[in-house]
Amino acid sequence: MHIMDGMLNLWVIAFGWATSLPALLYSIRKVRLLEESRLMLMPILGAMVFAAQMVNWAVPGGSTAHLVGAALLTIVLGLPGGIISMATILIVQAFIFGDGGILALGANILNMGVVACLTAHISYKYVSKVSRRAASLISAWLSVVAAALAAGIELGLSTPVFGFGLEIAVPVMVGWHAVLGVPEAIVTFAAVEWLRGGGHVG
Amino acid sequence: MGRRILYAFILITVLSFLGSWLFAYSYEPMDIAASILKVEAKEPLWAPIPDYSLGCTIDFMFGELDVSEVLSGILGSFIVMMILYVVSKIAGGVD
Repeated sequence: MHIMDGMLNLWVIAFGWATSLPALLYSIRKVRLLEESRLMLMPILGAMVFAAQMVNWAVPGGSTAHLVGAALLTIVLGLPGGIISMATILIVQAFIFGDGGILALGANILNMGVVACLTAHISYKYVSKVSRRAASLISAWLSVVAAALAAGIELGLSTPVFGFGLEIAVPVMVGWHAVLGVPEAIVTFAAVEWLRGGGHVG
Repeated sequence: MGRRILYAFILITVLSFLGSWLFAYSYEPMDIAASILKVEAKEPLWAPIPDYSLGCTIDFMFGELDVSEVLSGILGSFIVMMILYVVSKIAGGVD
């Protein structure tokens, strides 16, 4: 899902930075309100999600699929903690490992950080009123699909820099990530249930 | 929920994902969708691409070894953990 440089036009790049930076700054302000026990989980969970994202399933043709982990971070750390952790992971990936473009970093933080975490946060909040177990499953799947939808829109709006318009980029991104969201949902569910057993998730 | 069920879930997920049709079929999905819809790719005109040869990114220090991916994963996880540790300390109030 990482967008590389050279795939987005300048307007979309600017939009990515203009939306993700305020969200990141807001999260930095709000993360102070997090309980200390959860705050101490942030480095460990962040490192875990980074490692999970390193495991790429090779898709023939050059593409890869990997876990995102935004829902897991948001459910355990809250929305500000989730956004900060995802942004840190994406910054390290872009600057040190060349995974995702540096100019496209704002868009990547917007997709996998802000959109994915916000979707997970809202869906978990409402679905957990019915079933907390179903909430982790549904919010993880929705977060991946929402992030893919955002990425598809950004790519589609970047024509002719990107080769395909919205009519191709959006359905393909959403369609494939709807499938990839299933293992993400199950892994998130398992991890959240595990952490709930230890009293780390309410 | 018992741990056995969790382990079973993870195992089934990994096996079903690795064994799915996704790996047999998914060859350049955007190209396949474009060919089905008979849409041609537009020629890329211009996109901002930084000159990475100027040292904007760091070449992996261990080179292209078999274990490079593993080492880079450990190194990256450590870097992320350290950054978030500092963030959590600042957010929690440094003693």
